[in-house]
Amino acid sequence: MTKYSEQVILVTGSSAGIGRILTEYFLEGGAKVLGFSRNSFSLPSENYHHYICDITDLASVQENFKQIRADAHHLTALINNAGALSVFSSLLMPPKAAQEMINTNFLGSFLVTQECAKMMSRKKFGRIIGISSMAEILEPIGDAVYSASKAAATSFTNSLAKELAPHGITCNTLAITHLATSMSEKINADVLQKVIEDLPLPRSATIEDITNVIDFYLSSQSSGITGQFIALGGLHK
Amino acid sequence: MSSAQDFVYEAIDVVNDDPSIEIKIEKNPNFLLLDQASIIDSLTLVNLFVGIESLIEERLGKTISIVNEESFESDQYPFKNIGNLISYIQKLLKQ
Repeated sequence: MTKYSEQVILVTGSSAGIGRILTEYFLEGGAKVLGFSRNSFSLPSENYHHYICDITDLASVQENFKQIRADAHHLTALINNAGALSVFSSLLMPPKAAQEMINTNFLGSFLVTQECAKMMSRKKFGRIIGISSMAEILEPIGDAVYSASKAAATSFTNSLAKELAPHGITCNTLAITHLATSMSEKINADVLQKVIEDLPLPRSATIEDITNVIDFYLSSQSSGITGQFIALGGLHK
Repeated sequence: MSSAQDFVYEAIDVVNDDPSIEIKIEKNPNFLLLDQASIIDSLTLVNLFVGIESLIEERLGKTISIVNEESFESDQYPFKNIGNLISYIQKLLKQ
């Protein structure tokens, strides 16, 4: 029996970046993984099931959850990972880009979590993890809307932790520092380097840093851990 | 074919079977749900709604969302009591 052999984990944004890293990590651990992304995607594993879902679109989310239930999947965990990032001065930020970030980083998490929590509540068990960013804490120039959208998602997760505790569902957040992904390539390299140098722990995150916290949150022994926010890099709120 | 009342009453049985639910829901059209004088808690109410949605999807293959924009615009507040809820579910099933 492997670490995650009893788990069915939904990962949003599973086709790229941290979502893909976590998806492959869970599959290696023996989990069944349900992946959401806007595009078709596959992995060479019979335990990976992909759903083309625009998490910002209520109809798309509801339709995909209907399919998940029809496929007789139950869910033990949700990783709210899908994210959108546009780096602009606030005065120059195109409203459409701002809307996209808020819709993906906050509203999308809300829509997916709502459906997940309904399924989890029937089993009286669930683990919901929000993937946030150091931007939520550092609030850097150029990231005003991104930081705000991530902070909104964290606040939502914290409040949800109270609401879902009686259902046996825990809700926690992991704020990641820099990890080289397609999303982080959008940030100016010099600016990013300076941010990393100023961290209490001045280095980029490793995959092990991330999976270590994820393992902790998902552990069966973590039933008393909810409404928590762990940040990498020595940061705290 | 099950009626709206059948779905609601079956979901009530499932919710009431949960030993952690302290105050049981009565199969009585006048039993208050979302009302100032209601005696049940929000967890019980959520479990009831989720249970009804699940039963309808399982039996009829129809997906409904009990709480939606329409539910707050209705003249007869659908969540006031069991009777109103049954009428509202009936309406959703016809859509």
